[in-house]
Amino acid sequence: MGGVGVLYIVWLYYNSLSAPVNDRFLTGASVHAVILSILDENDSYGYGILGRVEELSGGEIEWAAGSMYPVLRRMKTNGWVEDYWDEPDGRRRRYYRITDSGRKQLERERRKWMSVHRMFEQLWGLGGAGS
Amino acid sequence: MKGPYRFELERAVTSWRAFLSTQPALESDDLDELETHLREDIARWKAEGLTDEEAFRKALRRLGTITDITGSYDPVRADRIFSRSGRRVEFAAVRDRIRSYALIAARTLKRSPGYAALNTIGLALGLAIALLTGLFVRQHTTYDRSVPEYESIYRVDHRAHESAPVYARGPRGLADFISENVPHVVSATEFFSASSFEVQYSVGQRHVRLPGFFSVDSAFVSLFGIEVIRGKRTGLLTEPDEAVLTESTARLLFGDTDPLGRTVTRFPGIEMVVSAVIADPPPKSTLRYSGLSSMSRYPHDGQVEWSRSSTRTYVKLSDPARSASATKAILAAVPAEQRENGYEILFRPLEEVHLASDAQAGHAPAIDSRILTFFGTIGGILLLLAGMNHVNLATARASARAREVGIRKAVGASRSQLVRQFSGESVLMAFMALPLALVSAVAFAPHVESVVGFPFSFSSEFDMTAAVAIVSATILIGLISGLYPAVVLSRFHPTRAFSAESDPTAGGSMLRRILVGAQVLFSMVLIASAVVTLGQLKHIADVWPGFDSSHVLVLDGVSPRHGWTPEQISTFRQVVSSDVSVERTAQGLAPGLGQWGSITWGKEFLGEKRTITQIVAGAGYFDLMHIPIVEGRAFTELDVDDSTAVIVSRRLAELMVADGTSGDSGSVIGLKMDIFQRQRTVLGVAENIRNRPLHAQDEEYLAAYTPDGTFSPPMLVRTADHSISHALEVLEGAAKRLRPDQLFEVSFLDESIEAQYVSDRRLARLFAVLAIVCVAIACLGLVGLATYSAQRRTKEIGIRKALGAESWQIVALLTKDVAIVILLSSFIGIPAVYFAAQVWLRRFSERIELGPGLFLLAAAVLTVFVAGSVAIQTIRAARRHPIESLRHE
Repeated sequence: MGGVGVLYIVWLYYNSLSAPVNDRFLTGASVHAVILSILDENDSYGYGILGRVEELSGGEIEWAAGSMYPVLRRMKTNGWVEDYWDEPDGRRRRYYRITDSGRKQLERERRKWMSVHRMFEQLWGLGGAGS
Repeated sequence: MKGPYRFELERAVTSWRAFLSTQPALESDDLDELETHLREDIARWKAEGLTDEEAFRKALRRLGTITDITGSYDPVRADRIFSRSGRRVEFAAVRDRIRSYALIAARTLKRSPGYAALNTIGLALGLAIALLTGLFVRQHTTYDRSVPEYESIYRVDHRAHESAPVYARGPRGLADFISENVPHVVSATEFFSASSFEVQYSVGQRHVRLPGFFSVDSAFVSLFGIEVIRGKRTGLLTEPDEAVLTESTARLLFGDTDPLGRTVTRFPGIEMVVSAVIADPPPKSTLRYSGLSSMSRYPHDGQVEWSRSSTRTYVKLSDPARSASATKAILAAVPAEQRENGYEILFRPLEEVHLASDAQAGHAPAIDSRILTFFGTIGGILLLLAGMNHVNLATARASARAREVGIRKAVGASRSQLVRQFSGESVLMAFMALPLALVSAVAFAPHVESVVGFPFSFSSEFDMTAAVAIVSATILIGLISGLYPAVVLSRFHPTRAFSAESDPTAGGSMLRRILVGAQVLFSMVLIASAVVTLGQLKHIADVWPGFDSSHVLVLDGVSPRHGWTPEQISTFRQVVSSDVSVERTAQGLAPGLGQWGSITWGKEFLGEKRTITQIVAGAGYFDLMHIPIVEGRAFTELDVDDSTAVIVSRRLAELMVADGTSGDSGSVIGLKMDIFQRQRTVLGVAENIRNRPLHAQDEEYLAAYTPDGTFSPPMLVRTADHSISHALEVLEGAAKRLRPDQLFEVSFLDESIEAQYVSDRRLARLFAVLAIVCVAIACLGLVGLATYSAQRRTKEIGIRKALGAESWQIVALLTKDVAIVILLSSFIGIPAVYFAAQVWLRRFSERIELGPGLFLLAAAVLTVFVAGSVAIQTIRAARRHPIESLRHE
């Protein structure tokens, strides 16, 4: 009977690992940087942020909306963004705006990712920014 | 909802939002945000050409699962962002997944604390009891496992003939005989041990009384692999004045000083020198010694005296498969006459010695294996009941989550995912019961010993295996209870889930009712058993048992079985009777101790082969025990040579007259009977006796007088009032003078009988305890059923109240469900138990009247508990304001 319990836990674990390791770490680690950068361009709302991500990645990266909103909430708690309600085109939406504290965080993220990017530039022979 | 199904977008979105609004983690701002998001996405897909329904479902799927939306609104880490590319890909770590289950469990707890409490307590109770009974059974089935090579060690038991009781003692000299003559024997040992007889050890002025003083031969220590801590390791216990003490005994007598070479005095005045200190006997061991001395103190000529039994013999074989041939080899040495009588040698494996409750003169109380079976079964059944409860309650709750399931399916969750989700939550709910179960088990553990009468040590028995077992049981119950709702609900069409009237779990209610009905039935049986057993016990205790056990001493050792010749016995009796403190002596097996054997009378009698209780009684027995002779006369001294006399009990005589066995005379006196290998004559009829409280057949007994040694009863002595201590001195003195080599053992008959009653009373008390637990669990099940009923019909209740129904009418409506279950169980249960009890009680000539009163009592008790627990739920539901009920979605 102990075996049943152990097997169940093992099965749960392996199920949760069904994602390739890359996706989890990369996407997760980049989310703050991406959102802050997008908001730095312009204030935006949830759906808009998602659309921008899709647009920027050429459709390759899709975030699950349900998981993004909690991240936004967290960023708000950290003080990196603030929210307000607006109705520019008939639909009442919650908009997000980057704060000064957020800009500082964005700078930190930028430095972090640029050092990674410089490594890949040399390893993969990337020519200049963007590819 | 029946009828052609039409998808309406607005309704779908509204329903979706209504569902989300029930999640406590979301505020209305968040809901607005999500709704706007959803609508924009729907608009996008519609713009790309999808239909309303397709767009809705796609947008819903892209939004994410309910768990993600709601569960993740609590502290979350960025790396939990989901990423999809075509198919769903989750990478929540197990920890996060468990955390979300925990959140859901917490949510459930907040929403319906009553349910959660019911679930948890019921399951915890069942788990605790299963744990305790399981550990108890395991403890008592694993005695003596610490003895090295225990699988090859056997105790040699003897049985004089087929219907005689088994004796755990045998003749002296058997061990040496076995070592020399029986093949495949590694070693054999024999020893004297008085069961709980206390011996006084003295060192100077320090006196300590301890039970367990064994007189052993030199093979004892090595055969049982006893560790010698100090002192010589070879040639132990060969000198007559040698003593070996256990560590504890040594510490009690000598403190921290070295006991080796020191002198210990054993009452009365026997001096011994300590030659070694051995380890204390391990906890689960049938040999409980505090000190050992050598049997060489009691010289022996080496002959095996087959008609006597005084020592315990243990044998270690080189190969357990050889036990049959070893038995045969020993039997070959038994004198022909005894062999023809049907003498048997039985090899009792060491691991079964603790369970050998059938053997007389065992040196440690053995537990009846039926008790263990009883416990195991009860524990299993209670766990089953508690588990069934848990499943019941979980299933009942499932209907509330139909809409959640619908949304998940719309979102694209596969059936297996749903099953996993429900199972996972359910397992976690079950796990909430585990700490409570452990705490309860620890709390109840000390009481097990006093209720059952056998030692039980929770802390030493609870090990990794037990922990794993109980965790697995919890997981299993959780899985099963999650499985049903998951399987049933996941079959459901997603959009139908958005209508409020659906109740997919309605179909399971029959199963639920049956389960609860079974619990009620079982509780009733237990209650009734407790009531009947306790009642009969009390009744019998009040009735005169047919003999007078006060002031009676039993001298176990003064018997042909221990080598006393008839001359020695009659000298003993003459000597002690001359003292004024001794009123009377007689040989015989005392009543009330369950020691009487039984014979199967070969003659057809009353249409069946009858088993009659048989006692051995000598001259003066009936006088001594104050048992009146109803007809004829009892054995007297003059019958010394007449070993053909028999006395029957009044009940047996009545049966024989009724049967016509006695011919036309209407009396059995002078009747010739063919018993014990010869023709005997009935000398008299004695009054019925109650030998053991709950065993009726002892009332039909037959007493035979056998002065030879085949059946060798102990000596019974009745002392005069207020002279017991003087009598004891006289008796011990006389015994020592006639047989200085023997350990003097004496016990008080009324104390021993009281011990019997105690154990029977314990059994009855156990029934009562279990009945209470069972009722508690059944009540929980019933409350759950009632709550579920009430919840399911909230709208109906609201409407009825709005239409003018009174609260009590609502209560009646709701309890109808529960009442039917109880009534049905009662209809089945009460007659069945009544009938069974009548059958059982018919055996007793003195019995309680089984009026309907007794059973109505049981039923009433049950009803009170049940009604009480149900009432709270239904009254609350019935009194709720109709508007609230109607608003409930």
